[in-house]
Amino acid sequence: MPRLYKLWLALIYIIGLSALGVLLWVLGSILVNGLPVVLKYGIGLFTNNIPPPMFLFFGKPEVGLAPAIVGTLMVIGIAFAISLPIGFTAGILIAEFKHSKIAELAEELASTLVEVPTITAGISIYWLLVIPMHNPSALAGGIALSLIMIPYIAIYTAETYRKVPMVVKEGGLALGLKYSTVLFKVIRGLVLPGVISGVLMALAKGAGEAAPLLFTAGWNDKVTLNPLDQVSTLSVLIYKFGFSSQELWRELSWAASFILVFVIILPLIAISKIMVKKHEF
Amino acid sequence: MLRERKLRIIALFGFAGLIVAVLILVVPLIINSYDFLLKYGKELISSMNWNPPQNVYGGLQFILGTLWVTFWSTLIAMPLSISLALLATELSPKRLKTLIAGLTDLIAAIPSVVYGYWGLVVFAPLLATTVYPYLLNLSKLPIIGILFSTSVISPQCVLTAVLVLSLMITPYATAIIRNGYEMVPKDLVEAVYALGGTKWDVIKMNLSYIKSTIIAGVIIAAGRAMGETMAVTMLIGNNVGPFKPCLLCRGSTITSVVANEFEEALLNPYHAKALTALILILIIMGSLLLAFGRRLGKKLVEAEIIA
Repeated sequence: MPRLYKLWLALIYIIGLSALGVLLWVLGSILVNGLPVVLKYGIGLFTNNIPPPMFLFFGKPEVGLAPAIVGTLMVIGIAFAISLPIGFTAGILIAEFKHSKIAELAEELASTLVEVPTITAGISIYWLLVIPMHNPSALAGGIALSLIMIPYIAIYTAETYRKVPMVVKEGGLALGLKYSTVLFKVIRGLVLPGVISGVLMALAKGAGEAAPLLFTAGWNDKVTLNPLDQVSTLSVLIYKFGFSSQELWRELSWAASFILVFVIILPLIAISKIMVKKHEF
Repeated sequence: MLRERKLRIIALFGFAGLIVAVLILVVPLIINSYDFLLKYGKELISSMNWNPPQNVYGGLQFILGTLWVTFWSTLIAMPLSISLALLATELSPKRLKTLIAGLTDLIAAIPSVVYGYWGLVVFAPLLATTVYPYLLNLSKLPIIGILFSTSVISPQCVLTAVLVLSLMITPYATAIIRNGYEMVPKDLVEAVYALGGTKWDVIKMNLSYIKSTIIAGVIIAAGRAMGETMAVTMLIGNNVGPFKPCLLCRGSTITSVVANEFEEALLNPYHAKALTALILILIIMGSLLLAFGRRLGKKLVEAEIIA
């Protein structure tokens, strides 16, 4: 049976293409179901408050996702402010102090943190912050998310610094520059795209997370800018409204999915990919 | 050169940050489940009777449910990701390769909750009307029949969660396998062709050459499946009854019961602590899986970076 392998190849083609097909189906569904809702409500979707349950209003409600969009940005912003300094410095430690025990331990910790289920952060921060503060808040949600983003930024930063050829660093050192000057000034142009790309990946990852925010960020159907207030986020809204029997709320879940995937996450990933592509050694 | 003070302070800051992050993640879980585990710990991992209002906390069905869902979704994701990785390396013209690789990377970024919502509204109703009635007929078969025996077909069931979960983890595993595949030395490939081998022989050689990378990819994917929360909670049907080795039944996992019940659990301190203890058990299960993977090879750490 010399031709049997063709059968195997055909099977691989069929399985691979159907896997790709179903994955594209997911992406297509978000586009097909979400975009019409976004177009239907137009700009109001980005400025209006979230509508209350149907039986609570008479006449035409204002329909919008503004609180969830603002909430997502706030939570992500807080998480970014915490995770960038820690993640970046941890990355430097892992890449530049290699062969030291402390760097090995740091790498172990970072790669373990990446694999911890994300709901863990939600439960821990709930006990640590929400209980003492008597209230979920954007701050608690942001801190929970930062726990998820820190290891990503650390690992990407370390990868980027590792890729810089030793000769380049030695060139700087040979001029009598300090090692820190070499790391943060001389090779800045080489590492910056990689680090930024890692940060963007971490932001994209954080923006989509719902599990850590379910019990820490709370819920709010009005826009607030106070980090100690409860906020709703797009990801939590998709979950909460997804189970609803109300047509309007399910529509909003699709619109939120569309905004989350096509307006926030995919552009972040695309920019991040382009940045590293441009800068390969 | 690394004696430089400024650099040491920076490194120390990063290290302290990581340690604090780990402590914040783990210590509240231990503190808040410690007294529960002393009192109900044995019951939690040995009984399948879950009735928090009566303070009965048998959680074995959630642990088994997590393992069951992880096993099946990994099993299904394996052929999917190997085929997809081959499509993106060996089996397509060059331009298509980058397109397929780029697409799978983009798709890997779709959030779990969006997969869950898609599964709930689009995929589950479709499966329940087309595929599941046929699977129900299989329940008369000996041995494997038990997988499909259920009284009513529910769109939200273990199989729906498993299928969506396997789709979600496929891009991760694909990225790792693809990366390993491209690292195979070109002279080996040339050697196979020189011996008169076909493309299929090359594929077979390559796949056996990167066996350890494939295993690493599968273990990482299994770990992701194990901790996955939102999609599973939305699709598994959330039945907290005793575990059954069944695919068409409604079921539950550790993550799904926590996501579902934690909010109401706050009325009863022991209920909330029971769920916290379950999360602790989930972390231990995940760590065991990764430790097992690490023993298989150094490839795992590299794979984590790629995923």
